Amino acid sequence: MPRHIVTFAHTSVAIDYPLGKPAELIDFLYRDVPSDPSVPVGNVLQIRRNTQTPGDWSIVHDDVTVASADSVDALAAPLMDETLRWIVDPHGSGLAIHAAVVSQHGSGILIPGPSGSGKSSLATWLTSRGFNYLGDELAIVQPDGTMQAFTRPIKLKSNGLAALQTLIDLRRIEAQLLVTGTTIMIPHKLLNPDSVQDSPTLDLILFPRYRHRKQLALSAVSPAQAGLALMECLVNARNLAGHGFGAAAALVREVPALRLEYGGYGQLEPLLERLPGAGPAGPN
Amino acid sequence: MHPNQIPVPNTDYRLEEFGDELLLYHPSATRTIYLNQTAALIWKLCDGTRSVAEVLALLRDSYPESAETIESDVQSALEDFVKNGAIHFERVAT
Repeated sequence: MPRHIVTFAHTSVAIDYPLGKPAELIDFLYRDVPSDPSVPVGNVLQIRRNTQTPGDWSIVHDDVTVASADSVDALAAPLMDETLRWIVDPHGSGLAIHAAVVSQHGSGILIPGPSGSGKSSLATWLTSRGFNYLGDELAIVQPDGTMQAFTRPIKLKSNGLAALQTLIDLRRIEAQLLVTGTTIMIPHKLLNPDSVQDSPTLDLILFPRYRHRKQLALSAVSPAQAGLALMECLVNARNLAGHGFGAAAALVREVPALRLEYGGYGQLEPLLERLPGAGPAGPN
Repeated sequence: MHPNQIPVPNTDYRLEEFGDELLLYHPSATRTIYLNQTAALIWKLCDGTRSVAEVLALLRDSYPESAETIESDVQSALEDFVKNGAIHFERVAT
C-alpha cells in the first residue's frame, strides 16, 4: 500500500492508501503540504475499503476506525480533520492557532476564528486579490514572530458557491473542485496562480465576523480583547508553558488587531487599504 | 452579596495587564476572562482584605461623578467574577 507523508512544523503524519481514487484524493488534499521523510512519523492514518460493505470507505488510526463514508471523495473532510488533529507538534514552542493566513511581500495576516466566522471566505477573497494563500485552518506563530500555515485546499460551505462565482468562472474550474455534502474544496492556485508559500512575519491579526448582508465594518481591537479572542482559537494550549497565555499576551501587545464584519465579497475592496503588504504586485 | 463580605481573588488565575484592561486566565479550567477598564479597577481593589462596602467607598471617593452607577457596576462585576470562579466571599467583616 503506498504511503504519503505530510510534514508540518517538524511533525509528520503518514497516510497509507490504496491506489486508484484514494491516490487522487491524497494528491488533491496534500499537494501543497511538504513531505519530509527525514522527520519521524508520529501517527499513521490508513484509508481502507470496507470489504464487508463494498463501496464504503474508512479512515483508521491505531486500528480504530475514526471515520467512514460511502465514497472516497466524502473522506476528504474527515481525513483532513484527522491529519490536522495529529500534525500539531506536542513539543513545539509556537502558538498553534485555528486561523487562516495570507501574506504579501513578506507581511503576514493571521485570520483567527471559529468555524463559520468567515475566515476561509475572507482568505479566498484576499487570495483572489493577489495575496499568497498559506492556509485556512491551522497556523503556527513562532516565538520569532514568523508564521507557518498548513496549506490545504480552501474549504468553503457549499452555499458559498454563488459568492465564489463572483470571483472566478466556476464552469471553467468545475472539474478541479471537490464538492461533497455541504463543503467545497478549492485548490488555491485557481484563485491566484502566482501564490507562493512563505513564512511571513505576523503584521496584523484580523478577526472576521461574517453575517449575510451585514454592512462592512472595520474596527480596532484592544490588545486585551485580541488576547481573549486569540486564546479562544489556541489549539495547543495544553502543550505550552503557562498554556500559552503569556506568549499570546506578548503577541497581542506587539501586533495590531482589527475586527472585520462583512456580509459579502462585494464590500471588501476598501479593506485592502488597511492591510499590511497590500499594494502593487511585485516580487514576493 | 452582603456589603460586609470580603471578595477574595482566586490565586489560580494568572493575570496580564494591558493598560486599563486585564485578562485573567485559569489554567486548569482553560478559561480566559476579559475585564474592561471598570471591571479591571474593581478586580484590583479585591485584594482579599477589603469588604464590598470598602470597595464601594473607595470608588465613590475616587469617582464621585459616577456615584450613581458605581454600586451596580460593582455588583455586576463581582457577580461575573464569582460566576467564573475568579473570587469567592470568604467571611463577613465585623
